[in-house]
Amino acid sequence: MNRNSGLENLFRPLVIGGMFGCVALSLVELVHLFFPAWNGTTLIVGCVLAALEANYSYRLIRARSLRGTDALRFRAVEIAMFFILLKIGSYVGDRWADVLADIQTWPRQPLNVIDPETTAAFVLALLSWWASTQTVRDLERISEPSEPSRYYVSPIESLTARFFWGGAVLLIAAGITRIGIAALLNLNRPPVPGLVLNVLVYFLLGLVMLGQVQFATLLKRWQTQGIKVADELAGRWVRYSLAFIGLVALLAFLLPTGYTVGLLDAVATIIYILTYIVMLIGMIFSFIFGLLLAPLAMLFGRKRPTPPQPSLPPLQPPQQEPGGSGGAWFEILRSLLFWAAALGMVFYVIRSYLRDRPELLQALTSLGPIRALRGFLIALWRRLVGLAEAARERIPRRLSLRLARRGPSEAPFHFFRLGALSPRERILYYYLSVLRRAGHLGLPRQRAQTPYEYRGTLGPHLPRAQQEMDLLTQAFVEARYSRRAFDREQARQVRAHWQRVKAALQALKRKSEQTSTRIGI
Amino acid sequence: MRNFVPFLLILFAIAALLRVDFFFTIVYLFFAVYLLSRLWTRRTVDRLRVQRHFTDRAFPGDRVTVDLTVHNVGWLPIPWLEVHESLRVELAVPPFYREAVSLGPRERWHFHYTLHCRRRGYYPVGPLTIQTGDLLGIVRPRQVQAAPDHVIVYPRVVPLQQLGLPTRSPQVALPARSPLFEDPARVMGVRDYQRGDSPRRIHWTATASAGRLLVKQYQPAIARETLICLDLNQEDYERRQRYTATELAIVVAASIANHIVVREGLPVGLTTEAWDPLLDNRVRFFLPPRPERAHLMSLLEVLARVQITSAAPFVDLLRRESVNLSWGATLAAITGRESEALFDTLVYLRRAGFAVALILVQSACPLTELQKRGDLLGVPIHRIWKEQDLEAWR
Repeated sequence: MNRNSGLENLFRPLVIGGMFGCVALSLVELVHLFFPAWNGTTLIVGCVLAALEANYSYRLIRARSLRGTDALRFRAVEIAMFFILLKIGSYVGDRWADVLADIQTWPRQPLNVIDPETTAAFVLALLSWWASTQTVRDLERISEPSEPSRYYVSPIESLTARFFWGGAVLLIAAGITRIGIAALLNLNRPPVPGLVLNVLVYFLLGLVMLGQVQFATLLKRWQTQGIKVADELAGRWVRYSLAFIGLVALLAFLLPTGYTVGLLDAVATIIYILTYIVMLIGMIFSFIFGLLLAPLAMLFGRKRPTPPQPSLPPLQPPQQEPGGSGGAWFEILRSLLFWAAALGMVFYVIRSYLRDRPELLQALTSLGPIRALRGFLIALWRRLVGLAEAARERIPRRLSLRLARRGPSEAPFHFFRLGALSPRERILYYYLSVLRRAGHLGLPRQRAQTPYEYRGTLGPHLPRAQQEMDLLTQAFVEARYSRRAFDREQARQVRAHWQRVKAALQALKRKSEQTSTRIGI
Repeated sequence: MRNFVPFLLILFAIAALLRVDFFFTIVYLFFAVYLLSRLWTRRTVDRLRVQRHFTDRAFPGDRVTVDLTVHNVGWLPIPWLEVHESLRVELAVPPFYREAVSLGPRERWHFHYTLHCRRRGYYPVGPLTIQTGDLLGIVRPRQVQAAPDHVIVYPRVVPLQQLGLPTRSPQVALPARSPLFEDPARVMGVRDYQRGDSPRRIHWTATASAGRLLVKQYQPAIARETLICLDLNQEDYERRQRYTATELAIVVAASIANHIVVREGLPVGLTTEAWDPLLDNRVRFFLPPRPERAHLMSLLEVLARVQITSAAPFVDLLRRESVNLSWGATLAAITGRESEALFDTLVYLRRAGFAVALILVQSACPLTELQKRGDLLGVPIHRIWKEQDLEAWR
């Protein structure tokens, strides 16, 4: 048996049979609600066998090329065999004497053959057989070219629709079985915990089947187009599929599945917690303010006031529905997580669905109320973005202005090593040092002055070092605005100019101090 | 998968209505499938790197093996990857290379295919289209394209022993019988000074040694450089034979250039006005004469990619580009049709001091009259129609 034949003759029929068995199990459980004495095992086995037989008979008809009356005869015999087998199955567990007695009634009352139990099982098995045949046919159709018809439904669409609708039926049947018919309309009933194995098996097998369908589709397309397929691809596909499904199953099992706080209550809880935090902060501030005012009150001869004690009611968890297993806050957290996951999921799915269909999105946005809402939200968003940008722009500017107002003397102290600077940085430092010293002497550089303009201002005050000031300014401009490289020798030369200018500034300072002393300032 | 999202919403509605906890797990399962499939596909596409390794220059008849590497630089595996490399029909039949693979985390996959270089040209290798998708067919497959590389197939080069083209150029030094020029770099010997010799020719060392005035004797030399003027104006070739004739003209130009550089070691240049697929525009090429082999390769590259176009008249090209040449250079004009204007231009060029040769690429027609006229004007005329005709010049 090669890989493909194993896939088609063994794997697929078993998966299909298993999935129909899962649906049948839920239906049997549902029927048990109404007829608790009914033995549904025959039906479950019958559905699985019908699904397996459908696969086999479909291939047989294709292999023998049966058509017209031959095919009808084949199908009629097949259906009759179903009925006979189900009838035999309905006697399983009965005493042989009872079976014989029932059979003896058939000639007198032929309607005894088609009792309700067997008929129901037959109808359900027939449905399973029909759906299974359609599934096998769709799997075969994957390799066929699509038909140019408006009503053509691709085999993949047909298969997935069958899988999804089967899943929906399964969920409804399994859900009703667990909550009961009476509680169906009671929306305040507690959640039903526990694992539903047949539902899990159905969906996991379905996902595996979807992976196989996708692989078969791609493989057929590649074969049709003559595309070479790497040998490793099939094996890796199986490995990656299993790993992927395992991973998503793990994720799904990790997320919270129940809630004890409703959606509106969850929102109210969030608002309540936020309000509580704001009040707490306010309380702390008022306490600190009270402490600061206390000495002031004592000055006016009052008794030392006791600072107001913060008194906030304890944080109360909201009302919960019954059914929670953990602590109150744990249940709230679990509910909040659940609602966040659920809403995020719905939002993401709808968003990506609409993004993939721009025409639908356009049609929706052209509707009046939606357009107005969209316009409002966009305007609000832009406003928020504008405010954020303005804040981002203004805050650093204000901060820098404030720092500038403080002046250089307020700059934080830090260790400074001139030798660690690069030659360019050293030249910059020499010039800025002159600016600082001149500023202390009452000769600051105005904000609008260029270095050359400032040289014209400071130069006349330093008649002995005017040339050095020119050279220092020239060096600074080059270091600041040009890209040419400076070496240590050049920095050393500038240092000599700087020292002369510094000496001239110190002389100027001494002179001004002497003058001040002389005139008695 | 069209109905996946509606199904997911229905599933959620059922789970919310029935409030069976496990059904939410199923909803999460399908949502996780949807979300991770989308993220996985998007992520894997962003994590693909493509490289091509091949010799991007070839001669007709060569086979070039292309090593195409697709590298998944991410840690996520890529379940399936359909690679479609578009090729030109001149390089491969069928004109594409396709393969479907699966890439593991940080895995490289090497694809190998061969290009059959049949015709000269400048061909794109690619673009490479990569399609990938998820395992379950939930997300639409995503496509990315990698930019093409290019391969240059040089024109066919026919080996020629002798061209028979006239030479009258002083630019390149070659030993010659008639001492029209002397190369001061090539000292042949010394002789006694004669009246009228330039003092710059005196060999002072030898004079000092011999005790009498001696002058240097230089090796006599003439020089030649050739400019191939290729006509790729479609009007100058017969409509029915346009393709064959222009391809042959290019082969002639390439063969002449190869012969001059490789066999004779002389400088050769090229000028033509043609459609350049590299720039996707009409371009006037002028490659000044040079003797290096590297120059020959760049000349062949131009000849590899030029295509016929509706250009300005060929005579304009001849007149314009001759301005860039030194006196005495050789002009080899290759065209598909002779005309009075062409002869007038050739005569003008000859009188301007150039040596001129006309190579006509056209099917059989009486050549005797033309040759007579050519002899009269001092312009040798050759006619080429088959590649074998080139061999006749041997």
